[in-house]
Amino acid sequence: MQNVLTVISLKNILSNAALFRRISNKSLIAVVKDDAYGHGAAEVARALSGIADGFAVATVDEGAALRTAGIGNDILVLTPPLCEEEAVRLCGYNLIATVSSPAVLKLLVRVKEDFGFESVRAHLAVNTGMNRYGLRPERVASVCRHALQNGVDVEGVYSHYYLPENGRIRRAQAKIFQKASEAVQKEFPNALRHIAATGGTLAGGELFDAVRIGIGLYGYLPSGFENCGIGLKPAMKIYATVAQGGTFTGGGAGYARAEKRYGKIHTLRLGYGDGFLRAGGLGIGKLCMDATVREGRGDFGTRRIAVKDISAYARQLGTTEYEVLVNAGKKSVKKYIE
Amino acid sequence: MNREEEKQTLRKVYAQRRALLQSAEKDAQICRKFLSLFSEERNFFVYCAFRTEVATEEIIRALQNKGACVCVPKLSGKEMFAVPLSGNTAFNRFGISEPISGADTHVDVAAVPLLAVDEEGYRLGYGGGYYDRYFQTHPHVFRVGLCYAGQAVETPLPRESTDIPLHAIVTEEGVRFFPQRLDSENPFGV
Repeated sequence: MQNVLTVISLKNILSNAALFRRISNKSLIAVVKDDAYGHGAAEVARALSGIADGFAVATVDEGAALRTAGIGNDILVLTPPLCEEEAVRLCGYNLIATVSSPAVLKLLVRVKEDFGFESVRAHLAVNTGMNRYGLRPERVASVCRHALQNGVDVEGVYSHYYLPENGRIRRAQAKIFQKASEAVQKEFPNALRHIAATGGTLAGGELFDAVRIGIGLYGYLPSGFENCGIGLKPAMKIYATVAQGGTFTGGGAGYARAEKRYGKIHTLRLGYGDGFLRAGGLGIGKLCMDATVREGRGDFGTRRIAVKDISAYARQLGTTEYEVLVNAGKKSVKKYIE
Repeated sequence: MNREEEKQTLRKVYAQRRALLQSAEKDAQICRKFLSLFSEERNFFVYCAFRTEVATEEIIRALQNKGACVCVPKLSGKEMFAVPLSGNTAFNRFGISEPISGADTHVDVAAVPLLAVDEEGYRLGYGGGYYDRYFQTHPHVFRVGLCYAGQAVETPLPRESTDIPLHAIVTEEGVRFFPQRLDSENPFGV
């Protein structure tokens, strides 16, 4: 245990959620996958349970963990079930499955019958051009009929913008989605329609019935909207403990030749073993497995901010805030402030 | 047709379009959405609506009622300043009401009128360049256009090197933020 501390402001997450509600004026599906992007899914979901209309997670296990933590809101599992065990757990925990192909529907129908579930809850995913998950638009109508006949309750239909900052592509996807949703609503008139995630919501236009906000909740803007000017509040601060402080000597700094003769330096108990990238960006040169050498004075045992600007750090290392947050969140001790 | 003639033609076309789009009901929706979006900001720069521009009287009144500082444009030669709306007003050379006196004041958000706006937030104004010059010297102000949804166009509008794009627009349909990869002057960027 390295004692890396992440301080998470639930107040900032709530404030970001409220802002996206104001921007969109639609139902809010709060995306808490990957342990709420490293912020702690149960705590974040609990804080948002009054403001979010539902939650979205990546896997059945994540959904089950939220139920165990006492979250009663709707929970959509974005990754379609792969096997019987996943489908059973989906139904047992009253989660909403993603139906992305006739094969997935077939699996759900079989599990429903074999295990005697009264109903199965699902949202249909439509492939409007991202080519990740989703039914081809022309198959939506027949899959809906099949679902209706077999007691699978299609409560929603969704898709995903693959380049929300591009208006032409976004409108083309929205048009395909509109048509597919009409086919769904013929069989399931109350199906909730959603396609916009954080970027799509910022881009505006037709937002259908709900928006799915992930990265925006945690205070960061997605690619293409980094500088759109909206004032989000980052929710995570990462601290590490100074394990040694002193004066530079010799010619190295961690596993590197020092570029200059430093004055005061200190060592933080934070390394690539704690979920940070070995390439650097947090001190002098590359990170060690459990330590980072930094310039400046540091007093033994004190806590210091380890990553001042998560966006700048992520960009410097050619990655995104998602990756930094998720990895930092995994191995840290979390402290929540209301 | 040269660039300026093309812009003049577009101004006529989009002015006619805006006149057709104008409605008090839409104005009320835009007002509601604007106030809800900027419920936490304290200092505003709002134009005094003229002809077929989206109405702003209600926005100004509501902002003042909640105790926000509301500035309106005051022209001085080629420059425009954000001057608190208090005391006496008079009509300027364009026939728009503005305060008789007052100094340029710090604002967080500027509500801007427009004839058309494209996918990247570039606006077609009236050709005076007042807003572009103002934003050039006030880069930290959040630039939000008030317009009807039909004024947002898909084809890029002619733009000059001095044009400064908007951050967002508020229409009767909702709020749209523009992707601005190259804008380095952004105050809120994290």
